Amino acid sequence: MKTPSKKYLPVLATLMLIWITANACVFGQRPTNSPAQPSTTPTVPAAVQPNAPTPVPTATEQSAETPTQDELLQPNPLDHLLGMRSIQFNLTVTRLDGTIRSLDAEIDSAGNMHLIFGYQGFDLTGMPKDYDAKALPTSAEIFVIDSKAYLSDAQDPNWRTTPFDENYPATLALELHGLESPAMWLNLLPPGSIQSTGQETVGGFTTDKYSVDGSVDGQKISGTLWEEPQADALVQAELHIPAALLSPPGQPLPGEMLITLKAQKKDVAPVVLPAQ
Amino acid sequence: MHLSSRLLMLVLLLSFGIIPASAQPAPALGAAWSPGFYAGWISFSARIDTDVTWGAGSSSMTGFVIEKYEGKGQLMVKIDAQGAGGASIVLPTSINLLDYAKATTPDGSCTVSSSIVAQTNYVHFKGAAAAMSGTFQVPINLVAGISYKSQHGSSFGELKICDQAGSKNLESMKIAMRKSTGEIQTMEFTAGDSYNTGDSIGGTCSIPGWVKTTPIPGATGQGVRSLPSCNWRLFKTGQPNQQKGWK
Repeated sequence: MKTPSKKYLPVLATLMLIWITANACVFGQRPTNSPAQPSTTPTVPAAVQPNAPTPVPTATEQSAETPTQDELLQPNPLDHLLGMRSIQFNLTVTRLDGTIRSLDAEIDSAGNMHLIFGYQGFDLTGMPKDYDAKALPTSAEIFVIDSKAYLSDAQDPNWRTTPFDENYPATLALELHGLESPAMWLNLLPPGSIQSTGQETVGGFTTDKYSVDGSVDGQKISGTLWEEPQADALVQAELHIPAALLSPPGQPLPGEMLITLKAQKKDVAPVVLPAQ
Repeated sequence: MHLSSRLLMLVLLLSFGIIPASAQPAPALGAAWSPGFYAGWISFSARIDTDVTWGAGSSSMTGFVIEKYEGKGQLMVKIDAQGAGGASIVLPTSINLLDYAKATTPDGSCTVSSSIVAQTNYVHFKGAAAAMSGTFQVPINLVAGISYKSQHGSSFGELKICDQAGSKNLESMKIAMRKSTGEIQTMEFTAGDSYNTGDSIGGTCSIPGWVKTTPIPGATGQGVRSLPSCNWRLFKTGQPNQQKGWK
């Protein structure tokens, strides 16, 4: 290995890259707190924390016409699933473009979690022509111990001692309140769209089974739900969302988004950070 | 000063050299709403594409950074009998960053690259009721920062200093990602002229101040921030969570 006379050049190159990126990002922008430790970032709403009591709106909140967090993030049966113990589940979303995102989770008796996020397919629009898509990750493994999240990272020997999120269950609950969660679509359906079809045992749970058959803006949403009534937890689901509801206004697309959930009771071994 | 300290100092200096601005409500452009509760989605794709060539001949550096944001979230709007109201958002957003740079000197070369997959959440809850029109802005805040799902940095080359460049570059890219993520602070929604059926309304959206091209002084190249897509759609429902947990 050579010792360069211009030994700083590679670092300068890195610095240039950083500088360029920073400039591309910050010219004309407003001051921001570091999102990793923002001083003004609102605390994660208690409403999305599994088993957390629903906050009581203040008088000001009640008088405001804007929806409150209580309305937007009212704990739903999917949140209640996250609050269960000694279970495993898989939540998979098949998108309109064929890409798939999944979450395989195990929750032990203490509420600690072992999570594997799966990524099948990426939008490579605008990537360099010779870019090898195989370089993109197909999964990510996260351990949640005492609510703190750790990203398994072969490159970082300190990952076991440096959580990237101090309250990950709340963060995860937020993620599950997005467009690709069943919650939003079920809440859009008019009364009568979700009908009881009896009881069924699935995944070791005694559940109430429901059929989903309703229309939103003339588009039919269909599927089946299995709810564990004691915890009011969604433990299994299959939901078909027509692409027309996900399309830009006036540009209906063919196809559908498919959301599936399958949970089961499991004697999950205590989740711990793996030894080096 | 140690090189890593120089690196950190430079990034920090860049971090604090920012001009503040405040979000302004959009002017009323006309009634697009009828009283009631609307729920639906917002979906956006934003990018930062930076290419640069620095130097020439035997000493040069070339590289690029691609940072992609993809948000898919919930949007709710509530309108009262007087036409006033507001919006709330929960917007889980995935972030993909890829960068590459190669520096060449008479003594050899060094190539660095990194890739990061991450997730963040933007939210906005409640607020004072205001006049709602066909165009409205919603401030959004980050909650809980960035969750990294995957990160990889590498470097190789003949230059001795290259050994540490991969990890330094990865950390620097994470800092850059945090800055640009924090820059998305407002969403502006515009209802389509021909898309308001009464039961459904939607249109396009934008991130004020986002789209721009920034030249890179002293180098060939530029930073291009774009918004390839931003759409939203709302459906009128009877009331919030009318089925009380889907039942």
